[in-house]
Amino acid sequence: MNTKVVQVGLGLMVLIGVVGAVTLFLPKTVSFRGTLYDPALPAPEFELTQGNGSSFRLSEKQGDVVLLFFGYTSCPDVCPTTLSEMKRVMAELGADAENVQVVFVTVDPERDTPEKLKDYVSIFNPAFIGLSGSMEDLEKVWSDYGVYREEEELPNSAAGYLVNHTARVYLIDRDGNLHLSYSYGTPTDDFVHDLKILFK
Amino acid sequence: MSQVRLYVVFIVLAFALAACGASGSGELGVNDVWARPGLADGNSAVFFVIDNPGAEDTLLSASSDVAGAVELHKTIMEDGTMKMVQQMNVPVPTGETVFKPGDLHVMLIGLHDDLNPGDGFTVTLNFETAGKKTLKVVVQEP
Repeated sequence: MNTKVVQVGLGLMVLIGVVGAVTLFLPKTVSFRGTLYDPALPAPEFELTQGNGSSFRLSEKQGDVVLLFFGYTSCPDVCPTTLSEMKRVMAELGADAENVQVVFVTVDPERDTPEKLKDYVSIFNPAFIGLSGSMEDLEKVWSDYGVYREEEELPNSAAGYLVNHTARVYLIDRDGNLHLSYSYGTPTDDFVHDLKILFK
Repeated sequence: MSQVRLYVVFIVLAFALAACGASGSGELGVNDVWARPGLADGNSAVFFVIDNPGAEDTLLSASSDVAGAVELHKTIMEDGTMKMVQQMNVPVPTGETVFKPGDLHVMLIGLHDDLNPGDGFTVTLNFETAGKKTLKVVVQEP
């Protein structure tokens, strides 16, 4: 009886030891809170115009993490909410924020000039970049990133028309890969959590 | 004995009156009023909480002199796309009706001047029953 108890006890100890060793030596799985692109894909390149009139190429930012969002300056709700959240993310990142670039690409080039976009994003953070371009160039960017946008006339509104659009934030990692994306309303903590993993 | 009965009737009446006051005859109030920053010629939005202790009311319109037009709108998510729907009016049932980011908001269209954090202005809400309520709005980041 006593021998059996000792045998069972030893067996359990060996089992715990094996499980512990396997757990210790297995590669740690990273769990992001954003939606993961698996495998990460090279982020589609684009060249658009920024506030000072110069060109901006996405590949220029390789080495930094880019948080990319599509919206428009007449948008009174979703776009400013997202940009405010990006501002909070940058504040919470501390020194790591130097390696993060927030880029806001218009879905309303008729009304959003590069200068207007620059003034608009500067309300939130002067380091944010606002981009516009020709309809042809922008249509390619929207398509490459799977952004749906549609102008909707509002006959009874002084707004004239509004632009319905998808409201995801895309994270492009330091190697220039489309790595994660986030739906509207994702808590800022989730962005900070994922960015800290990427900066480890 | 008859004096005791009188006291009982008085106490019952007092409770009944207090209950009426709590449930039906309070005044509609609007709290936590704020607006987003915005640029001249651009748009902004005003958010608040309506506390309606009385019967259902309806918000008919809003006005302010800081923008060319003031409208009622609601942001909705449809198949992953965010869109705004203009509201001709907004029902205000008994209890709280919350105007918040990503939902109901008073849209300021064509701002006359920049709205910067810390700025203040007024907006007037026009209710069907409660009438006009003029509110002090503080500009702040969400």
